[in-house]
Amino acid sequence: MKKFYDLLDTRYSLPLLVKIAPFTDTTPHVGIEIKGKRLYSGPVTKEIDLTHSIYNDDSIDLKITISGKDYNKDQESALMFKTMIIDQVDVTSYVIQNAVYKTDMPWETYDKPTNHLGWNGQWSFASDKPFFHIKHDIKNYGWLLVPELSKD
Amino acid sequence: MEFQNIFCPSPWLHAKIRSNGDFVYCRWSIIPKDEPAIANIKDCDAKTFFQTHMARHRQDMINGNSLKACNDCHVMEKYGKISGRQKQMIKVGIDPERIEQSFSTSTFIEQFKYSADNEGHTRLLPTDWQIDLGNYCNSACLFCSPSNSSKLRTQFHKLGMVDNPTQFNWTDDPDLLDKFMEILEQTPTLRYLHFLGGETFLTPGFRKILKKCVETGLNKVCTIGTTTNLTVWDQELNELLCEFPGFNLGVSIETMHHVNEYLRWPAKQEMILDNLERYRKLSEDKNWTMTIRNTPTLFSVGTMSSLYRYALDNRIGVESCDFLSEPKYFKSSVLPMEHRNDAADRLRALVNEYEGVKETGTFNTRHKDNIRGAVLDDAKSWIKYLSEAPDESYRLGDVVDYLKKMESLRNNKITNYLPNYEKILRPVGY
Repeated sequence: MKKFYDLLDTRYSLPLLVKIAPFTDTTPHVGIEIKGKRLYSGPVTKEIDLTHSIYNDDSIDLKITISGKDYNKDQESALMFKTMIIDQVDVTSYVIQNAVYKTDMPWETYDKPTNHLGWNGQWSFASDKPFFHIKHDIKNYGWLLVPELSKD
Repeated sequence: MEFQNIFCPSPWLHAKIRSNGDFVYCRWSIIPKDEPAIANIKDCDAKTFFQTHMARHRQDMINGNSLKACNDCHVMEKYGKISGRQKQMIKVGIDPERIEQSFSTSTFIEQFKYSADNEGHTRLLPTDWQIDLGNYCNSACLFCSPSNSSKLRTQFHKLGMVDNPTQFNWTDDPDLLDKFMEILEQTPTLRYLHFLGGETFLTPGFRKILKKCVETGLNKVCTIGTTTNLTVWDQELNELLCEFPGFNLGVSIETMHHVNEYLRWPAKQEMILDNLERYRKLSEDKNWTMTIRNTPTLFSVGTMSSLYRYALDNRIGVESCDFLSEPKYFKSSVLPMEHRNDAADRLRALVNEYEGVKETGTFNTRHKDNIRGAVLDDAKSWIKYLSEAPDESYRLGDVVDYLKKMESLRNNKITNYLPNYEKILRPVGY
């Protein structure tokens, strides 16, 4: 039977799934990394499931890089970030809402949440929170209390 | 039992004070009758109680020792009802669906470790109190206890069931109130005060504490919760409650059927329904969280689906109390199996009718986006309980003994409200 200190000493691996797809037939070059680990590199020509894992106490850092798109020849192509599931929890909307999209366009940072990645640049989601705090937000669990010691 | 099925963070978050001033370590705990009180506010301050006296409960949690008083939460979880333990876990970032995996990233993990290294002691103060104000009440609900209803106490006294017709209520003593308020003011993260009576809206201590909170500025940070019996409408109090950032209003009603009058004696159903509607509108207007707080018994469970329907149609929460541990003879499981099955079927039909409702799967029963899902989950837990809980119909004799005593004073009869109960009660002496 696990005891208090066993739970503190054990790191738990949580399965992670990212689903991507091309908007048209293909995409420019796509690079996908999670916490520095490269999951995919190259053009995307069909819907792809990328699987990985993170630890329960990990922060989350997802980077999708689009490069080599020539806007004069190709206006339509784009990568669709379709789904992200961690430990059976669909975090897609949360990630899209909080992602930052830095592009090579004059406005540099696209300021609306999007999962349509049609410009060269980097679309990234980074969170210092461990996964279960993110799940807390997604599931509307309410107050997440942070302790403070008594005043005297 | 596994550690993760026992551990509860409540002793780091919360404590309760009873009507007589006894401190208790949890609002959901069922303290065995023979267990002496740990401390009373007359001779112990709330801080010493929480940080020192409750060390043993924190130590038990850390050591994975199951407490007898925690049994109600374990029973609720067994039948799929959201327990107090689960509600406390989500407040510190422990996911009830993944306790093992989320434990080490709890926002309170350093405080758990501190207690583990210091024999259960903590440097925290409760962020959440349940304050039992006293037993002033204009109702004498059949299933209530004399320590929670002055009217019932008077009747029990007449019947020779208690020695004293009155009891000491700690909030009547201004020095004790000041002593308690002092600790609240010292608490850096006070978030929630839940008041119970008696009827809180009639209890002077309720207004006094709310006014002190306003004077000291605690009303800026602290959400209030209470449950009313729907016999009182007090405009001044309603305005005072608006001074707080949030108000969880519990309303007590057992069923939309007129047997509610018999159970919540001597309240009249028409007045209760009028006030229910007034509070529903006020809650909508003031953005209060209104929840129906029912105490299902063998007399209400058969028509309880009417209440759940009202809640679903009006997007109000229902949070039934536990599966009732006292008085044992009022438990729904005392009802003969055939009648339990009928009650379960009515609830099942209701759940099926609303099966398109997608809101579900949260442990936060009060979130506005999840209200209807939480109501359906509560109903499902009752279906499971009614279908699976052990038969306790051998207690029907105790039911009849109690009814006979109470009806002799009240001049009423259960069979006038529920004629079909005659065949259940008659064979055991009614």
